[in-house]
Amino acid sequence: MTPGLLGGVSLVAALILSALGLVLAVLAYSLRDGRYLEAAKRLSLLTLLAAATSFGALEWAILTDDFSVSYVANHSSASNPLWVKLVTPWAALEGSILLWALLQTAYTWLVGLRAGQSLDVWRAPVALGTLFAVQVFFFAVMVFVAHPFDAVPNPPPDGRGTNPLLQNHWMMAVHPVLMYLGFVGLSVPFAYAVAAMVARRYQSWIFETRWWTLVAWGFLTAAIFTGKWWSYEILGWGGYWAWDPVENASIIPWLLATAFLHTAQVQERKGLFKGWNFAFITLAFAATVFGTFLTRSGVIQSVHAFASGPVGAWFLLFLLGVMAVGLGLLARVSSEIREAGEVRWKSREGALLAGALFFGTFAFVVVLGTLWPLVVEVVSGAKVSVGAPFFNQVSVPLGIFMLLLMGIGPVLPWRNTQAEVVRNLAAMLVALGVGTLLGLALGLSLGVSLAIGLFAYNLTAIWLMVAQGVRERSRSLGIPAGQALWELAASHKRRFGSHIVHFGVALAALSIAFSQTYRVTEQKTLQVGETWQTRGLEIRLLSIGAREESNRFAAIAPIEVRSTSREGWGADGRYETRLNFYPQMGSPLATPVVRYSLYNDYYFVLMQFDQEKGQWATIKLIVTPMVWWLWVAGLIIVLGTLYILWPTGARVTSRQMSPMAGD
Amino acid sequence: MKPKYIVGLVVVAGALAYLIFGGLGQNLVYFITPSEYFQQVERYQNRAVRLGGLVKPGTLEYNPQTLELRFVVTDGVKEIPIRSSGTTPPALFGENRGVVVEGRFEGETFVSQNLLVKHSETYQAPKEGWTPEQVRKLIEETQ
Repeated sequence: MTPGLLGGVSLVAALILSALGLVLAVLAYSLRDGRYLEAAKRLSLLTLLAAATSFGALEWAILTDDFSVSYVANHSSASNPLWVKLVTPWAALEGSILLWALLQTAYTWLVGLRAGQSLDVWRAPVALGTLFAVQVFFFAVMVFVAHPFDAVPNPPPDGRGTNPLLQNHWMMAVHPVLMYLGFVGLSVPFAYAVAAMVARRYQSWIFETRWWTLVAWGFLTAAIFTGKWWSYEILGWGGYWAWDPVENASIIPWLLATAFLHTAQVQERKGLFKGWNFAFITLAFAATVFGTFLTRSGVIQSVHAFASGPVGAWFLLFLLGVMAVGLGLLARVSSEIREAGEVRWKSREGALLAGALFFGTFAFVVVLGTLWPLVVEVVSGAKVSVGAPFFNQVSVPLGIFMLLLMGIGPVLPWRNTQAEVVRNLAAMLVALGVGTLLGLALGLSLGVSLAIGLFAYNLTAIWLMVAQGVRERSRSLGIPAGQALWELAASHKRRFGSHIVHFGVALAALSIAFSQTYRVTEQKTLQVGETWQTRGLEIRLLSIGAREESNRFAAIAPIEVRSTSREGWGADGRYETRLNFYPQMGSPLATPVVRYSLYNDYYFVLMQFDQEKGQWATIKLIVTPMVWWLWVAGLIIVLGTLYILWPTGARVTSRQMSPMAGD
Repeated sequence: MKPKYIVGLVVVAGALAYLIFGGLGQNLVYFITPSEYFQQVERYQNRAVRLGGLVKPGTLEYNPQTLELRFVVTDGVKEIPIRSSGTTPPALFGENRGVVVEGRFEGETFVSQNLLVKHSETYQAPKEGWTPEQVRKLIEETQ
């Protein structure tokens, strides 16, 4: 048995099992027979095993340098270090789809475990059937167009190597997996929505779906932040977000899932917004497919399109299928889910809907900006791209509105506004004004001052809400405030978790405002031994050397940095700036050295060096304030999500069952 | 729905449309070859352009101390002088090689803010005699 054969056979097995699962689910639904459902549940485990075998076979082939397998010959190399080999399955298209399909089978299996329990027997066959159908798509793509295990007739002595951008940083081991966990995770809420619409049970699906969506959302958030960090550490331009099509592909589903998480609370509590919820979750899942289509079809060129292939048309068809099923069903049931009451805008539900509409609009704007080059090309024939300035320009006002709503929303009560709420809002607005004026007084730009104001405003909102709850509890039970806070945090996990997440978002916005406004880039060619004085730093080029490493060759220019004033505080040290040369890449890859500090980040890049005599080197310096806090904010958001999701035994189930407890 | 909500909705939608379409109009980056530039010189003045071509032999001047780089790009038919300061030529950059520059026209000269060469193992530099079509392909494929 060779890894290529094992992988190929198990892929076909997984395809057949998925198709069989789909048939069984359809039978279970149409014949209303629990035995078929039981069989479909069992099949989901078999499919998971088949997919895992196939994935294992790919790892086996890569680790044993079996270049008779096409994927290994094209995307691996015998000289790669072990960790690079382990992550090579998701370094290119075919392997990525295999990972995607593997995760999909795992999610399907988990959903199967819920079938017959919280997922009732009317909805379970439809949900499982939808997930099996999604699996059929992915395995069919692999078996028919993007087969990782094609046999290479004359295996080369060594493979063509892994994309250097991917092996240059360990984050590549983590970021794609998180992204796929998030993308694939959104298929489950979609399946639940389809099941709810087919089975005409419009309320019960929302409780568990919100949970599943939050899981996927948490992974997506972590993936987006790790992606930003990777881009910051590797690409050498000092930024972390370029509105590149593939970045847009990750943010669109995130925005739509965020919209759903907000409107879903209203349905849980008051049974409103059923139509919005079906629409948001369908679009969120469709957006994951749309993103894959965009980045894999080569329709829009992107730095991330490492792995374009013939799968574009397949993904487009799948995208249309998902949209047709989700929105078609929604159109069919729309008369049955008409809202019972009018939406009160000046209440929690109004703020939640307004927030969700902003997220939806934002997603729409990003889609439009991403697709606009296609529109222009079709209409006028000119080839254009939409620059990052467009997205920045649009996201600033949208971001400000969202930060404003984020503060107000949770403060507003579900019912109509009361005097106490007006007092809270007044306090928040004072914080907004004071923060903004403080920023202006310090000589900061209007945008950054506003960001400080909005941060203070949101912090005040969270403080007021927590303090109010603690005060009431400690007074009524006669316990100390600390104990009251502790008990409240434990019993109202969703509420406290959302405070944590909102705090993280406000911090991220502050960090983005500072780092985008006050980034400074300078560059200078230094002779060995020469000192460069700039920005409160003294930068001395020590020498120029070279080093041979297993998978690459590196030119190294160590520099010594001393801070001479407060502006350069925290930058002292010796840094090895380097250029990595990979045999499969014609030009060297700059690897920035980043010195993090609580205020400024100092970023040193070796741009060029004297290749003949080793006399000079060109060093780029980028100083960016507050970037460090962006990573902290990402961590806070993910931890807040984890706090909400953390199971605490019986309480979770009882809270899920009771729509009134959702808060 | 009450009329005041409809008015609010129209205002919000109008502001959004202005923001989006105004922003799109200003921030489009045109991908052109030197020949295309000379067909519509006015259109490309003072806006973001991505221009591609071959570095004409004998025109490349680089001063590593001031980091100023000057050269002429050609698509075999037309030529445009390029000025770039503060950037370092990437490793694969050189005479007779394809290059893509991002920046703006300032009169006759193109001032480059960003200089790109295609990073690809499969990239084959075309033989002598570039055509505008090959240059166009280069511009679209270079990242």
